[in-house]
Amino acid sequence: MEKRALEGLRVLDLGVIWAVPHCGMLLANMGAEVIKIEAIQRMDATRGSIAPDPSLGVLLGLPGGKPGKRPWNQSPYFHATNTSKLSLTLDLSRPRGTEIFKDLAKKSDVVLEGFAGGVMERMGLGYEVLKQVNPALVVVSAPGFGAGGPWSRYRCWGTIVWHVSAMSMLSGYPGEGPMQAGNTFPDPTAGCHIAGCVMAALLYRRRTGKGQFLDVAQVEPAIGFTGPYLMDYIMNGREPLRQGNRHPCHAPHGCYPCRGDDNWITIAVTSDEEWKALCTAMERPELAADERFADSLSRWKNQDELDGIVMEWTVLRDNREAMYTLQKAGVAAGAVLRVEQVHDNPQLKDRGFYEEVTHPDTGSHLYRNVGYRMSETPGHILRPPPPLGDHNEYVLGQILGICQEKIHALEKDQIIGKVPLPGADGN
Amino acid sequence: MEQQALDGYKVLDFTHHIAGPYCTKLLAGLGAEVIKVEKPGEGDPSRRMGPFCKDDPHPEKSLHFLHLNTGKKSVTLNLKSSHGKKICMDLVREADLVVENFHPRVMPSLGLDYAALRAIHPRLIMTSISNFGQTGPYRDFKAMDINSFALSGTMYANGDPGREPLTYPGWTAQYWGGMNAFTATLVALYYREASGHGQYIDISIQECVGTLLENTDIRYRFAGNPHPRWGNRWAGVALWGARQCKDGWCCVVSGSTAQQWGAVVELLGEPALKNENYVTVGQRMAHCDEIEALAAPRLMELTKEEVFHRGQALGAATSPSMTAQDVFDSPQLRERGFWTRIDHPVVGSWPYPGAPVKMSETPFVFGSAPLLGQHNEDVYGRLGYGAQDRVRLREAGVI
Repeated sequence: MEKRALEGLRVLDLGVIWAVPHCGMLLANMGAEVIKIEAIQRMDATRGSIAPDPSLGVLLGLPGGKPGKRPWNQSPYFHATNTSKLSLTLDLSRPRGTEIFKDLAKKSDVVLEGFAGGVMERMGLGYEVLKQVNPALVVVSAPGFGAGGPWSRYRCWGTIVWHVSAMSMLSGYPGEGPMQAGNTFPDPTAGCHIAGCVMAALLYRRRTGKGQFLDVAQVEPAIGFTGPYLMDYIMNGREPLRQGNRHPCHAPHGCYPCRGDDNWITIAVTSDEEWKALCTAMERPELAADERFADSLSRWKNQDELDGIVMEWTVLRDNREAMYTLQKAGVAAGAVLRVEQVHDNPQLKDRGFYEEVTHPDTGSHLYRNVGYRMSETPGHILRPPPPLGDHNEYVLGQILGICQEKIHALEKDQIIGKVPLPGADGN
Repeated sequence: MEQQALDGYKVLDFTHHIAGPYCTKLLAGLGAEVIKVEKPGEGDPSRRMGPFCKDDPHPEKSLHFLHLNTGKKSVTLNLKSSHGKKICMDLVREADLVVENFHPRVMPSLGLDYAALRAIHPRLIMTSISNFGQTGPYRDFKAMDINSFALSGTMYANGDPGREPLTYPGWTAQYWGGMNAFTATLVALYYREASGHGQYIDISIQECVGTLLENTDIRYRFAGNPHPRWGNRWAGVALWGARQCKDGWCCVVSGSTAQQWGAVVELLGEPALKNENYVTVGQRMAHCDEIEALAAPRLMELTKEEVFHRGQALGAATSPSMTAQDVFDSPQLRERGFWTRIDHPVVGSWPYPGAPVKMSETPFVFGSAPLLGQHNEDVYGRLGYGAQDRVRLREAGVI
């Protein structure tokens, strides 16, 4: 049997949307038993509407464009961020729910949550309580703005983090306003930092037996990526400028139109050698001798003209063919792939980035694995994203040893369940 | 002194530029001893990347280098010389982790590929970060950040409809690769402590960036939905992104629940937005343009601070779109003690971005970035090379 790096580790994942669930998914794909906990009174918002308007089915990306019998198990967003996990429902607003959570916490290694500040405490599940229950527990709390401070109870989404972490001031077309990311980048940034720190905390626990509390403000890990630009303000008093697709000191460096509708290629030249290679590949050897473009500084200063020249060449070509021509010549180039082209990208395919998984409600589809290959413990998608409450019996019966009769009673009292109650989607 | 999570672990760091150094910066911040091997005389090319402290293009003053190499030790070593290789192997024997981000051909050409290192140190964990991974038809391709974003499928959706797609700012793809390497490396270390086995980790920046596709590739697989550029509307949902207001730019997120949407409507004070056709995310996708047209004039009546604090008081997710000064002055980051002061022998004492995660028992500590070769004496001394040996090695161009 294939070895799994985190076999035997149990994680309780209370995360919603993407940041904390991304952490849970990284650990789950590496073999940890990650139990995603929601409630039939309140599901992860990424499960979407309980009863979506059928006319919106395509817009929402539901399978075949239609809401099925259990649309909450079919939402693409939930599927994208919860592979390999188990699903437990538990009403944490009632003592019977929190007691079960505490029993589970006794038998777990890690608890992850990203609620707004104060929510866990109000449910009676703050760190001080969990620590009493299990001193070896590693508990992560990751609200958008973190614990403490004047904004700790403020609502935060990844899009907000983008605008309060210096990402937005760098992002956009030059000379224009801020542009948010096409994908909510700060969420997985937080999730991935957290996963690494959880592993570090578990290594420390191995040596000392001690658990600990990880306090995350999702804004802070995002600032790790923009550090030098903030230091430029701190040390030099300079606000960064939006550079769009341009490089601060090399040219040509940009995104150029190709043959067809809305097809593009990115090209980045960062040395004289690459510039000469580009001239040869474009069959414009005279440019290599042109003084206006003889060195990086000249190229950078004359980049408007240069972009026009490169575009004359790209616009007549297929973006993927042009990429292969340029890469063969030793020039960094990448076709701007559309989402419908990524599954067929020869490199991603060859490395097995996408894996096929079969889900009871949506059938077989390709899902993303983690972004790396490990020689001893490869990591794979072990299970489809779980239907709501699909592992209630396993978790309560097998892990906690609760008898069938009591499980039925919990179901009857709506502490657990598999069908969301009206309003569980927040609408 | 406080304990740190990675106390006692040694990292031999062959990284340069952005991706690898971010990984080892975090390892050093958690207490590992990170020995950064740099090329004699030149060092990490990021030492030559601007901006520089006080705009002085000096190899010890690059802000990229200062940020990315906090808490590491620097030794200089010529890996192409035979004695350099011998020293390198001695350092490998003492290490728990080796991290590198050369082009895939480089480590094998130096005789430092995983098979060679494993032969002398079976429990070693080696992490390689590269643009496309160590295998596959694109292995030898070149890439800058913009190319990685293009080839992951994320760039196409970034930017305004009808205009050229935009890459992500700064060196995001590189940082993202380094951060994934940090996580994967510690997963491997945890496994080694449980099993005794080392392993090799092959990080592909293209794949790491591909994990940023959010729900878009699944939407395509499920319903055939393309993912166009939506500009400042996340997924085409109304009021989800940067908006102009009275005195600049703010951010509004219309949210996933009726309650969150209701708070946005209340903040804007536009009666026509109280419409039962606008309540769910799907409805706000379908009626995007009309909602935006109703909201825009109302937003122009509010300042950034009003959007932020009044919106948040109502339960809406809102914020200003901050400048560098706003971020540095943020009372939230100040009160949390985010900025960490670091004293550097050349640039002096400044606040730097601090810990990404506050760990209660084993906090991050970020020390100064090293001067080129600052730790030759310390590290080579431990290997038994005395002062005179080091002079000879220097003359021979080894260190």
